[in-house]
Amino acid sequence: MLEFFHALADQSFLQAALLAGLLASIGCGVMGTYVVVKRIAFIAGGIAHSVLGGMGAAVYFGLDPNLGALLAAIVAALLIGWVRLNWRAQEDTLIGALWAIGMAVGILFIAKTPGYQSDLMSYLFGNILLVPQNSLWFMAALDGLLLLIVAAYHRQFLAVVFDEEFARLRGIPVTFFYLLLLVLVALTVVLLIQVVGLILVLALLTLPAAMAGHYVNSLGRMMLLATLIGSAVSVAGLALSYPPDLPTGPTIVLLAGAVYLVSVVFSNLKLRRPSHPADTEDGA
Amino acid sequence: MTEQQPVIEVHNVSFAYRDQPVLRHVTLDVMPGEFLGIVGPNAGGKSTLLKVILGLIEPDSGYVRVNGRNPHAACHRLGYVAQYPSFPRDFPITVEQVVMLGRIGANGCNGWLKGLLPGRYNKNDREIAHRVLAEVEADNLAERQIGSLSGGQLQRVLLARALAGEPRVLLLDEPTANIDQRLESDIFDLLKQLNQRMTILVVSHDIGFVSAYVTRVACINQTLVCHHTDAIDGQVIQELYGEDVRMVAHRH
Repeated sequence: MLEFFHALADQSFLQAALLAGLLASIGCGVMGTYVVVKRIAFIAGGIAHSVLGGMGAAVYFGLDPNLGALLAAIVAALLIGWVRLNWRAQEDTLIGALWAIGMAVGILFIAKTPGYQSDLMSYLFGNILLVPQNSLWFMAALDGLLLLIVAAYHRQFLAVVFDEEFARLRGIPVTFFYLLLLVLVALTVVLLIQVVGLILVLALLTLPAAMAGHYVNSLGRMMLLATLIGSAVSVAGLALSYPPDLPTGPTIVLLAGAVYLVSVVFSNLKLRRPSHPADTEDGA
Repeated sequence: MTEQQPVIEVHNVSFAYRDQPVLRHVTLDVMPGEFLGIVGPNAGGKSTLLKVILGLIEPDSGYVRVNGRNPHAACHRLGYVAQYPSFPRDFPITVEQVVMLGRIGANGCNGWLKGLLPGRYNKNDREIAHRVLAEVEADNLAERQIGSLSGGQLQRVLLARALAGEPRVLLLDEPTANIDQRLESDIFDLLKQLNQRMTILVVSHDIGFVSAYVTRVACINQTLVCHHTDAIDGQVIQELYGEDVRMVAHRH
């Protein structure tokens, strides 16, 4: 572990990796909270995987894969949102299909791209140690955009994720905010792909927020705590994976999974002691 | 506006889920200050009628006016308590936050642009939230997580959320279906009190119980079967349910 901190002081690629982990944690804390309370992890997974289609196409046409990922994520979010709003009964089938079709498109494009194909693994599993400088700026910009929109519309988002029918009665354009929420989840997916790759995104989008949900009773606090947990897990994962030269993304995800299990056990023990023992019906 | 103008007009409304007719040619006016009980058998269209009035369901034919306007344009005048809470009980939200959500759109909700305005709660919103919580005798619950409430407490909080928007009309769908029977009259006593300043429509399957509180009963079984201002007798109940029903003691 000490070795890691020595290397961190000298090596700029490690500093960039650390920064990338922290920037990703903000997105995973804020949007992960919505994903967990709205129970749309499957939708987020569909968005994440179909992003490969956009990345593959961008690589094939010689464009920035981040740009392809961003466009594909937004298109996938809107498509999946549209499916959910109009074909509720077949929601899981259609999202599952989009999930696989997006990946198939991406792999075909990458296979037909001339030249060296090493990038595929880093799209799928991430490579935080190779995050370039301009990706850091890109991530910071995405975080800024997320925070700005969530700060402006936190009331509307809360109303929509809590109780759609009631939100509609209060005159909130529910469809608009639901789709906006999915687009922001899509942006977060692109943010997290830089760190853990698109297959492992779902872990960072759900585990820190789910853990935070064990301990707090408001969305704002849940976002803050999830961001802190996400940061701790990414820094610790980076430090643990560095000396034995393990892939960083999977290390971070395994660590998050382990901490989550501990948290489940711990919060269940805590629940055994009721916090309002004197309650009677109606509290009169 | 004269006293005679109805606050809610339901005009010749029909609605079907796919091919299954739920409402057929229902016409009903509700006057300001009324306490209307909407009764009828299960699947008779009571809840659907409320949702049509609220603008949550578009009728296949006919129309609804609230204060002479389309229900969407008048939605800030309506307060609604649904039969089943449509949120998960473990949602990380406090009672105060739930009630504050009822303040959104309280100053008018016509036009989608208005819905896109970012906004914060102000001091007034907070004061009203606490006032309505006190009114339903739930102000001591403000900091509690919603999932830690009992059924009766939750019902009071949801009533407070509906009141937070300062509605002219309160619509409730089976407000006592999920709570202890002995608390039923507590809730209805509270509604009776609220009726002094707002119109109330309450859906219930318990015709005998509500008739002690309401000023008028509308019986719905796809169509408006009866529409009485006076007492309900066995004849009407038989018309409504199509069979003999044990009459419940009935006080006025």
